Amino acid sequence: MTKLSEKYNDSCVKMFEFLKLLLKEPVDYNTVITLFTDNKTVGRSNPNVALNKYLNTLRILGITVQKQKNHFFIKNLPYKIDFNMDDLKIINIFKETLEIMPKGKNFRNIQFFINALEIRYSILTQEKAAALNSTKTIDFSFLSTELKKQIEKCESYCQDKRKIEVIYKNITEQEVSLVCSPVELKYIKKKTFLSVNIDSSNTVMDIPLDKIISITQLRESTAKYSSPTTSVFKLKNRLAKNYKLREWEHSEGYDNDGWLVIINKNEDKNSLLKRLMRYGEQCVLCSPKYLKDEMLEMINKTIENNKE
Amino acid sequence: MKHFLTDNTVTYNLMSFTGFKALVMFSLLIESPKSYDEIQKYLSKYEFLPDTISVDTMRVYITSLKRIGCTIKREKINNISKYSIVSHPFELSFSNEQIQSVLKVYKNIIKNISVMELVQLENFFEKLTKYINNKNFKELFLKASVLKEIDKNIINDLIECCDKKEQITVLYNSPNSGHKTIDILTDKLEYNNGKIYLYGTGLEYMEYASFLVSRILKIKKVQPFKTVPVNLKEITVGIELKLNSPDLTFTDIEKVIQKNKNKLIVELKSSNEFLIRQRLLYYGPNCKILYPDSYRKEFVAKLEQMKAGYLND
Repeated sequence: MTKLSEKYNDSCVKMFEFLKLLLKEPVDYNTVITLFTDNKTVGRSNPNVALNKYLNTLRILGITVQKQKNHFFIKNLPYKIDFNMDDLKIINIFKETLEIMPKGKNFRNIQFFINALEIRYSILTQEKAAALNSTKTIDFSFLSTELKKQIEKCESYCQDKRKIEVIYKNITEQEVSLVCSPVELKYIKKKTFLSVNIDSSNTVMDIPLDKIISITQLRESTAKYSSPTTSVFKLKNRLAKNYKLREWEHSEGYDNDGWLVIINKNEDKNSLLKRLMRYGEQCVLCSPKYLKDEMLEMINKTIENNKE
Repeated sequence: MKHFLTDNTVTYNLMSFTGFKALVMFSLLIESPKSYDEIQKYLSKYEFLPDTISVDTMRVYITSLKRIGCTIKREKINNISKYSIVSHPFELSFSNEQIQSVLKVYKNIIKNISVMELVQLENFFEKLTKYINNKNFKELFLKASVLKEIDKNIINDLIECCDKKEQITVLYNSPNSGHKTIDILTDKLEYNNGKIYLYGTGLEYMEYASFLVSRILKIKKVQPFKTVPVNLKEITVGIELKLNSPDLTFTDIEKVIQKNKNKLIVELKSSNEFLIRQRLLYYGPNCKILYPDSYRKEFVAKLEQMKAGYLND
């Protein structure tokens, strides 16, 4: 005879197993029926009757399981989380980002993330979510339909892991052709950029999407591993004391002359140069040499521009 | 089929009383530790249940919950045995790949929202760290968080002060002079380059300035009266800007006064020379200072200093 401590209720287990099945994705009718076909669970009853019985039980407790196109999916779980209005606004921002995301891996993951939160809403949270009007939180109006199509294409280039040839307009509005490896899309201050790795110089560059004239996908695969572009710059005085390291930076501490040494990996070349330019005489870019030369050229050109 | 139940709102033809009781128990035990009597009392509220449960049946239910993946803790509280669920299969759970996607979106969102929304976003993620059972999430979020070293209460208070343009006295950790008290006529908060700045008129030097929020240790006082800034020396610098400059989003200190075929004439006005200089350096070779001449010369001298740093290196 089974010890009391080992005894379990099979129908109770089946019901929870049903919920666990629905947790990750919609489940097809046959899989659900198979779960309830075990005679041990429901005696001699028909599995469809058993299924209805459990669906009713769940419904009484406010757990809704819906059937659509031969698949069951869950609308809310027995485990609830309370979210306040601020939280719901943030969840809405994530929903809004889905509108501009191409239907790739990231899209699916964010969709899963939102659904995982929504099926755990407490009753109060559900009421708040319904009350929260659909006012857009982030203004995506800068994304025209054409730009959205371009984003979708660029995202697929990033996923395909094949080199591309980009023709774009540079700062001086000249058409430039560049063979590079697409890395990712970036959204900065309502502008969209395609971040690419230029294999020849091993540098990262963010190209504004609205400056891209055309992209041709090449046969050649992107390099499986490329060592990151490392730039070294140093800071002094107040700037050094206040400097907050970026996620892609680390510091080697102060050198003998009292400069704070920063090692920066993979920041877009143009963004880095513009940022360091702003730091004025409190910053010196040390390496790589070609970047140092570009910085010096920028300073010289600015002097030239402003001389009498 | 045991019972047909009817009430005013819903008609139940069939239901599993066992399943119902197990689900109620699950909800009760994830909420807080419960004794047998408490469970029994709670179940008795449901008049349609033909019977409640015995101690032995409760144990069978507990074993069933364990079987589906719940971790159940039994403890004595005030000499009474109580049960609670410490983990279960319905907790929020994401794969590392899903977490990476969420953080990728997070990093893009922070560059496009206000400071107030940034605080809401951080609060939301902090809340999630308590619910998500993947340890990597907390670690990766802390690494990406832009507010990890800032007291969010101070930011919330500053948002309110900026809304009302209050005059405040703060304790500031200055990189040069250490802890000091500063009076500021608040204007706005901005997130820039991974840092949050408070903009306002610093009454000590009577100039419009930016203060790193992470250096504000405490808001000591919100002053009942506002000082009218006197002797606020504003500088006006006129520049010619190439129209094809990559960044033509202007700040509050800039005003476009003329638009030609390929160029813009922009005027920068502030009591803080540093803010103007930073902006001009940012434009770099794309801009030319038109007036005042004295400022143009000072600017060139600064650039020569910068250049010297490279030539001496």
